[in-house]
Amino acid sequence: MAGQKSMIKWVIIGAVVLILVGGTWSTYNKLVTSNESIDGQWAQVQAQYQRRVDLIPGLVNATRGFFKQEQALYEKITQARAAYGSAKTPAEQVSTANVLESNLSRLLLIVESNPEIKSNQVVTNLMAELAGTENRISVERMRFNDSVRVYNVIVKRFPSNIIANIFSFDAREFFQAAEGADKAVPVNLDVN
Amino acid sequence: MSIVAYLKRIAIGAVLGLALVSPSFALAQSELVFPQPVGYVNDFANFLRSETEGMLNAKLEAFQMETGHEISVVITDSLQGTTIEDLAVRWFERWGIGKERADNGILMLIVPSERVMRIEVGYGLEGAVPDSITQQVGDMLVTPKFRVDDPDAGVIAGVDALIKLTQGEDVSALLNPNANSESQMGLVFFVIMIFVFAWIVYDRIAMAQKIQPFMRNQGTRGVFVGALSVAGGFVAGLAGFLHPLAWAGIFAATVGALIFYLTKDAGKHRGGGSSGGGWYSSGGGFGGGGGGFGGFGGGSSGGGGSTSRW
Repeated sequence: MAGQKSMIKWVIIGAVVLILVGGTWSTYNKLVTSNESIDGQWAQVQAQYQRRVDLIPGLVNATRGFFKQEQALYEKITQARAAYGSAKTPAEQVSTANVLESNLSRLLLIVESNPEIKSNQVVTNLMAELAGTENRISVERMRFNDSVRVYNVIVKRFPSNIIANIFSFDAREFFQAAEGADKAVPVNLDVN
Repeated sequence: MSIVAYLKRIAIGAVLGLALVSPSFALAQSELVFPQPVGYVNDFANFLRSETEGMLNAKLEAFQMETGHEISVVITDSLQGTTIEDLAVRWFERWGIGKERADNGILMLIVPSERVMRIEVGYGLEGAVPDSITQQVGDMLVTPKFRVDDPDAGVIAGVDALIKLTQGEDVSALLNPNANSESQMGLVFFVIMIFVFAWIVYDRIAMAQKIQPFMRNQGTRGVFVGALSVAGGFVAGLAGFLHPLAWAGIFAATVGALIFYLTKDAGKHRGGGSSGGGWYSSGGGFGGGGGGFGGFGGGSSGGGGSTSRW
């Protein structure tokens, strides 16, 4: 039947058009969505950074009297906290937060190993909040990297890489944590 | 065949397409193993007496009915080579404890072999249950009982404390299912487009055979089913554009349809055969779902809570 030949033609044309249009459309949307979710995830990391910064003065004041010999460490923490406060770009925020993190983990380790101060309820509460914050940071950081990974896979894998290329979506960078900062609990941190 | 029946087929295509979207988003997280939840209390290490388990399950079920909060106790044998913090947050994520959006879940994860436990708090309850409080619950109410070999009393005390802490928290305003996302709208639009496409194909065939549309003719119906199977493959494919199974679905459906057309005597063929490839490959999206227990509500946590050791 003559109608059937033109049928096949129409089916094929329709199929090709649907695949091209639909594929481009859904891939573009996927790129936009996952790119946005990376930014959203970075905001989560920042929120937890800020929470840490807010908790530090309390811990410093509550413990300073106990560790007279650690004044240099307290000084470093105060400086690192100020440096984070004045950091502008995400890269600066990460590097200053990492400095703060390594100094803070040292203080937490010292507090943790001191039985006398550990029985102080105020200090214990602050320690719990800070440990929780450190853990939140590592969780949000992990999720940031997960969303970068999802996005980068779309950008790099065929056939979506073609569409990413056309609309100039570039691969994004992973979060590089400070040395030893990927551990969740401060007591487990490697103090150099 | 009525229009309702056609629409039903379209709907099936859409559902299969949606089923394909979810696994492509659930990124292969890690090699950690999470069993299916069997209830609110999941004692995979035979730590508790079964009466305690039943009692706590009933209590937590009632609490969930009353407040919407989902508190789950998980007792496992192994940290699976990671930290308890990592295990807890991933376990929480996998099970989705708490309601979606409200994130009002709490996970009490206990690993007796390592003498460590963690209370992981969902985003929505971080205000009601701050880390310092979970630390006190763990250190002062739960683990002291573990030390004197009374695990049941410890878990009960912990659960009771968490219930007390959270019952004042009202998340009802967040529980409205208001999730009409953009992607779903796009999918609906595509289903309509595909329906139109299938309709045109059907119409042309009907015209070629000089019969009225929707006549009960085996040949035209076969062609229509064939076109629908292609459409089904497209829905599945477009929904999960990068999903290899979806591509297999498109390919199988298209080849099936072509074979169907090329074998000339369409009137004697049953069109349904070509749809087989499309549907089968989509089937991978299903699966999961947990036994008798209805499962959790899809809440998430972000590492809040605390760890206690004994």
